[in-house]
Amino acid sequence: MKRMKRAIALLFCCAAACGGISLAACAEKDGAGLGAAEAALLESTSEYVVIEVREGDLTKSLYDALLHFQDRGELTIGGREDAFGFYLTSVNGVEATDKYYWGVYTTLGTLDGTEYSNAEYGTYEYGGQTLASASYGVSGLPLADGELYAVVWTKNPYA
Amino acid sequence: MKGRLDVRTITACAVVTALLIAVQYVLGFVPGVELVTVLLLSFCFSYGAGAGMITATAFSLLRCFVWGFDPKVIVQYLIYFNLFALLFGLLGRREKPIAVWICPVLLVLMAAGSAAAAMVGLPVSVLYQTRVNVMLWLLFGVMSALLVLYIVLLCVGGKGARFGRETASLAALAAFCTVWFTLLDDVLTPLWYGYTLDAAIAYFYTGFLAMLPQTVCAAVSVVVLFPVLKRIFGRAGKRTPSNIGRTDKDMV
Repeated sequence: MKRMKRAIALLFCCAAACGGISLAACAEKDGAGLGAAEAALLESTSEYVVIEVREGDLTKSLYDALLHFQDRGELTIGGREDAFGFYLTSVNGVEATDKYYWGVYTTLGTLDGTEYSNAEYGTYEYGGQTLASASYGVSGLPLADGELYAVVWTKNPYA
Repeated sequence: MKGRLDVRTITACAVVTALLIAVQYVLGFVPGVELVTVLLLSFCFSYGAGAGMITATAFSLLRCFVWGFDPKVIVQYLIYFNLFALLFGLLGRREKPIAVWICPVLLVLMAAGSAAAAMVGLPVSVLYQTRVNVMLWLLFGVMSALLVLYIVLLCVGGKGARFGRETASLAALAAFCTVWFTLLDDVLTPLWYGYTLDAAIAYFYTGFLAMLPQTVCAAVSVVVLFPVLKRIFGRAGKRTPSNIGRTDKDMV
């Protein structure tokens, strides 16, 4: 029994060490700037945020744009890093739940053979334009010239 | 110990299930790092397929209280982790070591696949291309290093080298299984949500972002932690309870 206890203690120590690493990884990212890109915040409410990119920069992401507008005090975002990049869990103080999440939509379709959105995943209408649900999270979407990006409070159809 | 489902084994299943959930939760904050594979692998190897499958099933269902009840994920976890437990449980039960050709074949396959993908370039987001290429070359490096280690141990011979070869083989199998976990998701998700072929292909390429670091992590963690965990689980399972050998009369 003692050995079993030691084994469990050792495994819990491993888990605690991993916890320490994870806390260290939680450091918040400061605004990285938009580089050569120029973006305009069209609307920012508790239900959606819409950004239009007027000058593109493919080395910058939608996440950079959101941080840029957060730094200017025009919106707030929250979330965490996961395998697919930054996972958005709150926008303008509204936290995602089991039934609703912050969906990412864009007019950016396929660029250089890579698909960035697909209408099969879902669509969002804004200003007479149809934005398709993104294939990537906010940190995987590059800021392309003339494209619209929206973060929308979306009902989870499977909840 | 192996194949017997006594109170002791069921208790071990419960403890390991709790540990799996705790480890997955804690490491969920560190992208690409996971220790579920090595923990479950070592447990199945020591306690057998029966205990492993009970643990895999309990883990697949109970983790939903933390991450939510998504039917597609439950199906994926139940299929994958039960097959995983069956494979490594049966391997642990065998008296013979894993066939010599398995490890080199798997390692060459994965090293060649990752090198080819890195040279051709995967159609992922322009913002992730560098990261994916680095991960592909890292996977190639880890697989090649394991192959070299395996060949050296094959030439050296002896009991220690045999255990080292066994560990390398398990690491190769664990990495291969991790690839299949993502591939299973690439099949289940499009079927579940009714994607067209184009959407399914796009989903497949996106999956590399999660698969590559997890595969590297699975291989490295098995090499490093399997010898330790095997000893821990082996000792925990072998210890004879103090009342074994006593009769009912003795205990009155």
